Amino acid sequence: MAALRTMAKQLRNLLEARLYRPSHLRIGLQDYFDLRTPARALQSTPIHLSAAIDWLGRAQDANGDGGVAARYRFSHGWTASYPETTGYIIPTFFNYATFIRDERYRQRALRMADWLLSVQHENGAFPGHDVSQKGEPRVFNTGQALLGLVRAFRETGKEIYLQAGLRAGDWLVAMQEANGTWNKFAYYQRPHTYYTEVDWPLLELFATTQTVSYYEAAAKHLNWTLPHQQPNGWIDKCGFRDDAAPFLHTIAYTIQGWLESGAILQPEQPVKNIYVQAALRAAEALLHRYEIRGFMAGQFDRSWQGTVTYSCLTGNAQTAINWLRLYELTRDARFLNSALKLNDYVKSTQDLKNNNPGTRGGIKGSQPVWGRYISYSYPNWAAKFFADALMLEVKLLRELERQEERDEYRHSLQNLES
Amino acid sequence: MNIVILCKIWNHKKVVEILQALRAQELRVRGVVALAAPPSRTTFAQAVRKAREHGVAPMLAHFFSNPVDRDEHLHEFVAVNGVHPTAALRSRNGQLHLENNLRPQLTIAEYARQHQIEMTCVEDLNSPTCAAVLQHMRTDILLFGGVPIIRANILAVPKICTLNVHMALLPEFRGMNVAEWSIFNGAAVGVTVHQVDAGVDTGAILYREKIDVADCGTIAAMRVKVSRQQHLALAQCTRLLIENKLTPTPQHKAEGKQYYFMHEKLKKIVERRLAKGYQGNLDR
Repeated sequence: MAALRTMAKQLRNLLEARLYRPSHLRIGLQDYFDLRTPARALQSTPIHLSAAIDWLGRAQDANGDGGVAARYRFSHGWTASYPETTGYIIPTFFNYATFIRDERYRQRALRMADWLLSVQHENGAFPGHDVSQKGEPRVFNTGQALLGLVRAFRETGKEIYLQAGLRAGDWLVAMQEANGTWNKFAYYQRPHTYYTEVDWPLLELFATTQTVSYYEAAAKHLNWTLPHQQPNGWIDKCGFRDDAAPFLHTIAYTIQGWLESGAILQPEQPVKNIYVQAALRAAEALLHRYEIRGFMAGQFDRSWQGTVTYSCLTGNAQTAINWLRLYELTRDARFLNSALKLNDYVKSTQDLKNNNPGTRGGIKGSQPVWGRYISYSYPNWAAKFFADALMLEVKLLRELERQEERDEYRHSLQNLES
Repeated sequence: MNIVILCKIWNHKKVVEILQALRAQELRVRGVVALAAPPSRTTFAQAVRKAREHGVAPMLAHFFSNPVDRDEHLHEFVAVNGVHPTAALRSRNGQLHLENNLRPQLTIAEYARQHQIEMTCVEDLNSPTCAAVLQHMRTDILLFGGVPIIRANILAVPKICTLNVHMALLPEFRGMNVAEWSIFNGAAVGVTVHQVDAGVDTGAILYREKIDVADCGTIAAMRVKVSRQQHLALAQCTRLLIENKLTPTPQHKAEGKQYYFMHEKLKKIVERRLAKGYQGNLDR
C-alpha cells in the first residue's frame, strides 16, 4: 500500500512538473541519461560560485520583499520567501561580498536581515514554512534566522538586529525541555539530534553577548545528542521523520552543529573538543563510505549503507563544507581531497546555460531531479550550501598554494646558504 | 617451494618484471594464475555505464582519439625518456606506430611458455575454481601481481603465506595513490612488502625500503621508478622468507591512515614538488 502511495505521488509530481517547458524537459532528459558535465569540462570554481550566487539573487528578487524565495518548483515556479533559509543565507552573502569585494551583496544581505525583522513573531520566534502559509513558530527555523541576525549585528553594529536575535534566543531557551531537547514547536513534535544546528546559533549569540543562558541551553542539548552517537559514528534520531534512513541533509546538519559548536567552545584546540570529536567520527565514516562506493547516496542506514540510488545535492554540499572545515581544523588532507570530489559532483549537476532563470545556476534538491529529497525543485538552501562550499574550497586551496610558495622560498634560501 | 603469482592477464609489464626479478633471485615460479579477459571491447551496456560515470563528452573524445594516445606504455615511455609522444612515435613515413620498446618485451603467456611456468586463466580470482587451481599447484607462497581485493578462501590456500608489495611505507599510508599521498604529506616515498590478511594493506610487515625520487620530475616517472623497485623488493623478500631470514612485524592500524584516489588539484601540487626535485623526509 505504501509503495502504491509512493508511486502515485511520484506520478503526480511528474505530471505537475510541466515538462512541456523546454527548460524543464532539458533537465529531465539530462538527468534521465545522466548527462552531467564531465569532470574535465567543468568551469573554474569562481564561475560555478557566481552562477549559484546569481541564482540566489534572483530568488531574492522573485518576491520583492527582501526575503529569499524558498525554491523554484517545476510545478509553480518561485515560491514565497522563506525565513529559515533566508536567515542562513545572510552569512553567505556577507562572505561573498568580502570574497569578491562587492558591496552590492552586502546590501542584499542587509535587505534579507531587514525582512527577517518584519516576519519575526512577537514572542521572538520565527515561523516555519514560507510566508505564504500562516506558519506557527518553529525551533529549528528560529535557530537559523538567529544565525543571520547575529551576523547582521556583527557586520553593522546595529542594535536592532541584536535585539531581534536576543528575543529569538530567549524564545529558544524558554521552549527547551528539562533534558535539553526541544519537543514543542519541533518538527513532528519530537526531539532531533540534528538540532545541534540550533545549538550553534545559540553559541554564536553567547559569543556575542556573553549571556550564559544561551551557552547553557546549547550545552544541555549538545550533551543530550552525544550518547546518540554509535561506535561506528552513526547518529540516532537525526532524521526529519525517517530515522531508519535519514537524508544526508540532516546527517550533515548534525555534524555541522557539533563541529561549529565545538569550534566556538574550544577555539584554541578545537580538535580536542568532544563535539568536534563526535563530528569527526561521523564525517570520517561518511568519507570512507563515499570513497569506497564512489557515489554519495541521498539517504543512509545505521551501518552507513546508502539506501537509495539518488543523491541529495544539498547534503553533498553540506558534507563538503563539513569535510573542508575538518581539513581546516585537523590538516588531514583526505578531507580536502574528498570535499573537492564532492564539490565537483555538485558542479557537474549545475546547469550554467539554461535559459530559465529559475534553474540556471541553481542546485536541484536531488540528482536526478525526481529523487525523493525536494523533487522537481531548486531549493535556495542547496545553492546556499554549494556557494559556501565553493568559497571554502577556494580559500583553502589558496592557503595551500601560499604554503607551497613559502616552503619553496624557504627551500631556496636554504640552498643559497648551503 | 611452490611459488605462484596471482595477477590480471593484461598486467604484462608488471608481472613479467616480477617474474624476471624472481628469476634473478634464482627462484623458480610454479605457476601464474591470471584473471582472464580484460574489458577489451566496450559493449553498449558498458558504454552507457561509462557515460553515466564520466559523462558523454570524454567517451566521445576517447572514441575519436588516436589509440596510441591511450596507451599506458606510451605514457610510461614519455615519463622515462622525456620525449613527446608524437615525436617519439612518428616514423620516417609520417605514419604512427609503436616503437618496440614501448611495448613490454614479452607477454605473461610468452614468458611463462619460455620458462616452463604453468599458466592458468580464471574468470574470478575469488572463485572456488581459482582456489582449486592454487591447490592443484600446491601453492606454498602466493604473490600478488596487482589484483583486486582477494577473499579469505583464496588466502587460506598457501601453506606458508601470501605476499603483496605496496607502493608506500606501511603502516602510515594504506590504500590508493599512496606514493602521491606520501609526497603530499612530506613523507618519504617507499615500498613495503607485507603479508596479506583480510584487511586492506594491514598484514604484518616484512620489509620496508625508502626510495629517493628527487630525480623523477613527474608523477608518471616516479611511479615507474617505485614500481620497478617494488618488484625487486618482492622477489628479494620471497627469497629471504624461504631462507627464514625475515621476521614479520604486525601493523597497528592506528599508526596509519587509509587513503583514496587523489583529486587532480592535489596531484598538481605533487607534480610541482616532484618537478622541483622532491626529497621528502627520508628519516621519517
